[in-house]
Amino acid sequence: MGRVQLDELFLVEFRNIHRVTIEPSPRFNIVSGRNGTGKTNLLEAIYLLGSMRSFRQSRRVDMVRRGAKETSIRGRFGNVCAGMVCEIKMGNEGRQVKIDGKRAHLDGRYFHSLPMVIFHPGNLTIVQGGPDARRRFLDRALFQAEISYQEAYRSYGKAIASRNRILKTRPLDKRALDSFDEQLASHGARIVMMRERLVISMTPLFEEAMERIGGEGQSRMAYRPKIEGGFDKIMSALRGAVEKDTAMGYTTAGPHADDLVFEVNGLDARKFASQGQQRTVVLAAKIAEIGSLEKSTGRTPLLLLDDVSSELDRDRNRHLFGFLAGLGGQVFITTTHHDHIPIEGDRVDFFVENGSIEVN
Amino acid sequence: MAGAIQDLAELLARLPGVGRRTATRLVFHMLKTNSDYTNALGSSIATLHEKIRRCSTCANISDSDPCPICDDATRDARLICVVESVPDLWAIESSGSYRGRFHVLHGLLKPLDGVGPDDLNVDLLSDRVRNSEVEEVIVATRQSVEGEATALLIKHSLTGAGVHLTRIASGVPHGSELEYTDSRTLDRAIDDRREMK
Repeated sequence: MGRVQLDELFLVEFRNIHRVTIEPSPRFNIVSGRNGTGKTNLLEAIYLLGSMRSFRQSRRVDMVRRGAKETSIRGRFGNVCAGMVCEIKMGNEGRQVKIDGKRAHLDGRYFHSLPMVIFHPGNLTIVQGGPDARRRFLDRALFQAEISYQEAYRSYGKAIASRNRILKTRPLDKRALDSFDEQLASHGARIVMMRERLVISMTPLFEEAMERIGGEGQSRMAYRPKIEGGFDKIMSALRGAVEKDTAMGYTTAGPHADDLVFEVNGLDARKFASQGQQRTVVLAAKIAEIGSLEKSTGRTPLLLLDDVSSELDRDRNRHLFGFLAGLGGQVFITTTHHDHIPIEGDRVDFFVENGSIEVN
Repeated sequence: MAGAIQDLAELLARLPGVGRRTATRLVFHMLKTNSDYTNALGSSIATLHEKIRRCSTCANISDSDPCPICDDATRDARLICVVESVPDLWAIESSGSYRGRFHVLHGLLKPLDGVGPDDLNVDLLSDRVRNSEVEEVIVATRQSVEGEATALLIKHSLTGAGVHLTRIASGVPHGSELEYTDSRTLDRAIDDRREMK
């Protein structure tokens, strides 16, 4: 299977980096340096090229080096990406993206062609956090897995914002409300269908990983939509909730309130699993995400691991690196010390210090 | 040093798509032409508002009320095409194949911009349909969340009016390649496929 492979990365005025070019290995890239030197910045830049958003939820201004007006991130992707060059320029004026030198129209196809998976300590919220963290996990995978997900997601967002505005306005405009219900139901049904499809494809991979990493039997993941069923069910739920929604001033039911559950030994991992088990769940969910994206996009996603070794114990680490060795993809790993990463051969080591990057 | 040239340039620069530089260039161009042109231009602008009427039947904008389309007895009064704006009406007119009448909404249902059902000419349409020989209403609002919501609003307001309601087809533009068509458009084109006759 082909892979998403970054052959060259060129950064200008990005965070603490003035100007740097790196040529990564097609397999393993170990980025080491002391805390606070900017190792994660490198991963953030790569993830930006694939998803057009930061996994740190940073503001655009924070990504431009202090004192500079504009930042530029340029990546050349080889292997199945056939030398595609993607360039993002960001400044006060906004963002501009060019693909192969031409102004890009970023529809679902772009994200589908460049799948990337990030794994970082903050991912623990997938288990420990609220339903919104789990929806975000599904949504981010789906922007890459399904070409039409982005469009469905945006349309649903527009429909729900419109409906909520109507619900907050007095007197209530019943005609306007009715007009948006069907839009909400039709885009909502598409979202639920695609989320279900993703979870179904992830489930066996998740269960297998749970078994192998932690020996945790009877583990499963399941999508829990607030409203089961398709368009008709969502329509009648919206109609039935009009009084409640009007009183609350927002739409109470729909895929924006859905959840995803992880179970270990038949119990909800959020409430009943130990810290160690929760870390296993996140790792297994990420492994399932990679496998599912391989199937839906037909290529191995590029993998970004931000300081995960420090989060996992020895057994889980061993399992993770065993999995990575079997995966044919390109991997970037940050760590405080390169000796922590038990990978032989096929690796390039980068050392980060105050905005400069040295290759070993 | 404000003067006639600067005054006019500033007024022109307030038009959409016209910047300060273009405005200045236009003024100097006008100075080079003879005064017949500038007089005609000036009086056309000066009388624009008083000459233009909104059609009390279909809300189209023209020199007369009823508008030339509503006034044209050769057009099919049994067919009404509902459009979002006058430019959309013109676009359909320029295709030359539509011989029915129109109804202009002057907007779409946009709660986020404070546009509600009462701000559109939906009730005017409903009265019109109920009090005339209309047989079919074609809804030609755009295929977006707000365009579809507006289409539904029209559907609801025409419930019981005994009229055949249709939605403009969506799909692949004429002569274009499927390969370069966005996925949503293709979804719709497949969903809305029709029998080959």
